[in-house]
Amino acid sequence: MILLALACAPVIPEDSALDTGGGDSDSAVATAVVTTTSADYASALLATVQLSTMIIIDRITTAPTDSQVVSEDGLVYVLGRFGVDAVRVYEPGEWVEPIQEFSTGDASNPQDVKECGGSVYVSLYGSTEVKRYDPETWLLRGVVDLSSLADSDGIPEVANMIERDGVLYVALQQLDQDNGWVANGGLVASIDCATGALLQSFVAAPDPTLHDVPGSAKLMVRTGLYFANDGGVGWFDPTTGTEAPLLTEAALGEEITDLAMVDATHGIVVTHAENHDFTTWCWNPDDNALVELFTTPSSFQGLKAVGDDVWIVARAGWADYLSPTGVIVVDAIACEPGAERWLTDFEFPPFSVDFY
Amino acid sequence: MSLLVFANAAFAAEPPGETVVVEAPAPRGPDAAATSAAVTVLRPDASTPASADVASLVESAAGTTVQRLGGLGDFAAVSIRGASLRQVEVFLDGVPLNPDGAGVVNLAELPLGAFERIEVWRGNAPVSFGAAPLGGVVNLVTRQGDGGAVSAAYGPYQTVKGDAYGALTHGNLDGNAFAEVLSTQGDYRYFDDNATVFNLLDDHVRVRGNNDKLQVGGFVRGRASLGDWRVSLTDAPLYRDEGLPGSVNLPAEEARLTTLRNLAVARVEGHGGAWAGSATLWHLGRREALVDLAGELDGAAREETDLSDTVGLRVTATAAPSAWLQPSATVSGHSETLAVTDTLATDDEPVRARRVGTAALGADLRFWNDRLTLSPVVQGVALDGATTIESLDPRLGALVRPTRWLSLKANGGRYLRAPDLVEMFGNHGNLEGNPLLVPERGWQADVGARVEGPRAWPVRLSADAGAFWLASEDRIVWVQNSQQSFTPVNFGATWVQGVEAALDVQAFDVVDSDTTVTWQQSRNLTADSGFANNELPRTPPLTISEAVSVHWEERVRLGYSLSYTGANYWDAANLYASAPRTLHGAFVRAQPTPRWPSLELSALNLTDTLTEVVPRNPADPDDPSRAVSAITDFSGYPLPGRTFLLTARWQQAPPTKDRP
Repeated sequence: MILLALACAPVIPEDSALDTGGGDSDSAVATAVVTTTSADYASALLATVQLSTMIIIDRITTAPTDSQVVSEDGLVYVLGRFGVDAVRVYEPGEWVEPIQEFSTGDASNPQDVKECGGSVYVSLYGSTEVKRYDPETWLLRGVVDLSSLADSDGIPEVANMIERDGVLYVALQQLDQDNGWVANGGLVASIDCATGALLQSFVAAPDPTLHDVPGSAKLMVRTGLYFANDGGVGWFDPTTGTEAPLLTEAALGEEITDLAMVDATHGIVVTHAENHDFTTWCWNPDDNALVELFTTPSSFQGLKAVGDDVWIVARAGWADYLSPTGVIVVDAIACEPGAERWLTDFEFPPFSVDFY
Repeated sequence: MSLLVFANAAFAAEPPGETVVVEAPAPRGPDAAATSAAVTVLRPDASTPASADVASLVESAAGTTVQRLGGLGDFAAVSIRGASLRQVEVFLDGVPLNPDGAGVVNLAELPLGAFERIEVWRGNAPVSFGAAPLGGVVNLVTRQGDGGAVSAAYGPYQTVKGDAYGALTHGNLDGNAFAEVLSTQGDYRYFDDNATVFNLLDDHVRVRGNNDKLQVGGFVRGRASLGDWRVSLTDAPLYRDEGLPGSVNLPAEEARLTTLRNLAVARVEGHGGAWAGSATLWHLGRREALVDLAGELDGAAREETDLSDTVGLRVTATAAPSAWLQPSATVSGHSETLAVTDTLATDDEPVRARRVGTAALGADLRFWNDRLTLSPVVQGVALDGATTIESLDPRLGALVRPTRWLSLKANGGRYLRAPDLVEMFGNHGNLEGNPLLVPERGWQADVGARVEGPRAWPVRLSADAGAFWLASEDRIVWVQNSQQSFTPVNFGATWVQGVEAALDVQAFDVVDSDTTVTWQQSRNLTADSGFANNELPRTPPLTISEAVSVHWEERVRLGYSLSYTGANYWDAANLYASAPRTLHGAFVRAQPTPRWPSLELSALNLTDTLTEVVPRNPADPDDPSRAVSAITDFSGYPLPGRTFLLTARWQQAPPTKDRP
């Protein structure tokens, strides 16, 4: 099997699942799928990592350079964001060619994919729409029109999505692209998965992103603009649409760029300092306690939880072009400073990660 | 004789009192056989089709690669011997348009009709250009001489081009002027795979939108001759208003760029019995206004104006104190400022400035009746701005002429290019500067031979062949540092080596043929594992250019051209390669008598090649699947298909007169 893996075969053995411990939604995952993008952002590849062995199988196929990889309902979606504006849909392990590839429209900038209510929803950051596809035929089933929630630039900046009980919660960042990306507000919209109807919208702090919390009916919401200590993280109750801020950037003195929760009491928060260093913290929302793990000049592109672990995608730092790149694996339950593991043997620096 | 070698050819006076029948003026410019440097002198002449532009003519020289973002009038820039675009310095009448590698010159802004010749100096360049750049020099020399000419052309995509040239002489005063107007919609067809390489059902042919252009440019010059001295004033303005069409996958419908440029030059030239010299004062002003309120180009709305001003002074002098020694020197200095105004930004960018001084001191040492010439040069650069840089670099050229028809050449030297103001401080919002950049440094060397047959032979030929090597350290490369912003970094070392050959044949006053072949290898020696030991992007290993025409006097001329570009990578990771491509062109021209206008029909991309076939999954070399892709010079910017141009041209008949 190792020989097979080293031979860079495009078919991935999936015979050993990771014991993922506390998380319930990832208990069956065995493989990480990673898009990697060259330092000059001109080339990109798809790689996988066998979670049981941490063996990297690289250079499987090409990928868009500005990508988001999403594992959803047994399929792997590779989204080519702004300038590509297309989605590739793969059967996991079958990488020779996608089962479907479709454009979402020039400059539509697809951000996230969720399957719910028998449809596949694709959020579009450069559009007023969430598009809804038939996962059998991949034909467009309809669009969710969010133009009524647009800010002054005419689009609501539809970001990521989380599904709860047949309802899709969508973060609308409402940034004014015509005016230096200043915040015009921030909303969370809810969509009925079965019908694609816009149900309601809730006011959020500026520039929100939503984050899943395994084992909890609630979500986490992160808010705040880049390069400003104006936001924070807190609970978002989808039943009431209310926010309960917990951790603020102002109190921390650094910008919170991302977070990932492995359960309701354990998560990883990453912060960005003025000198462009990134710091990783364990965080317990119950008592709002933070434990600093490590600081690096590398920049963090994204976080993804799997079992007890959080995978942090690290690229070259904004202030240090030669800083290390790779995936940093942190145990959010054990939370031991200095115990992080680096996966660095990718051909290009990682860009996005998910698990199947 | 030695005086004639170093003196400007324009000063070479005929012996007084003799009657000379001037049928056609002798070609001016450098004699490729008499210099150690590798130089190609390109002249827009009867064998040049009316569809040619500066970029296509430059590309016909050995060792050059032109990167285009489209068709006629679209952005084009030149690389020589695998050097970066900024490492090539472009001069207009000896005045730098990108002094010391500050920026990239858009060759499309320079109308071919304005020039009597284009000199492409590969590697070593004469001392008169000052501290020579690593990548070589392209010197465009404006038209001179009496007479007048007008031309008008019409082509598809509502392309209209017209130009006029005129000259006057009155006693010791003379003046000439050229103007060109180019207007095109540029809405050519191109292939679009909709960014879905695996999905063939949504492939289609689109029309390039928002690619219109209006460009007006030219020059006007006045000169006064006072004995051994001559004073000239030249002004070369440009207005260019264009839509920015964006890339294939991200077309823009409204983004626009308006450019105003003016080059004003005052020059004093003089010569005595054993010396010649000149002093040139110049001002280059450039204003670029970018409007992209919808954020079509990179997702961010922009309304910016970049204003750059450069004032420079260049003094050159050569002397011939003895028959074997001809020292020469060029000292130049310029001060430049860059002001960026972003009306949508909340903060004002400060005006950036720097001062650069360069000096090149050299000599031609001639031995054994000029059979051996050694040309040592020391060049220095001093820069004062955000950083202070001082450098002193040597170079050496050697020329051996064992016979009149054979020249053997060798050159070598070390070069430097300091980061420019945009690289240091950014521009256009999405370009973030890097004040920590260190200069690019490099070595280049070449050896070559030139053979020239006697001009009296019915078949006249000249052949050049050579090998070159170019290495640079701390090469500056723009890399993306976040989703839509770029910053320059010192990327590491690179080298390029290759051979280049050119054959020029004129047979029986009927056939003209120019052939060039360049083969090169390149390596990226950066420490980045994703790029280490890869080929440099857009450095094709093999390029072939052929232009042949047959003519009956100049009453009828038929021409054909071929351009072959070998497969080359367009990314530093060497993942994506363009397929080899061959483009054909042709023209037919008729002119019943020299006094009549000529009429020409020329065709570009005769076979209407719009697409190329490339590996569908280049990550897996064993995957035999192929995909169809648009043919491009630069990823995402398609080239047009077959294009015809109908041109009428009238030129005052060549002078035939008795000169007292």
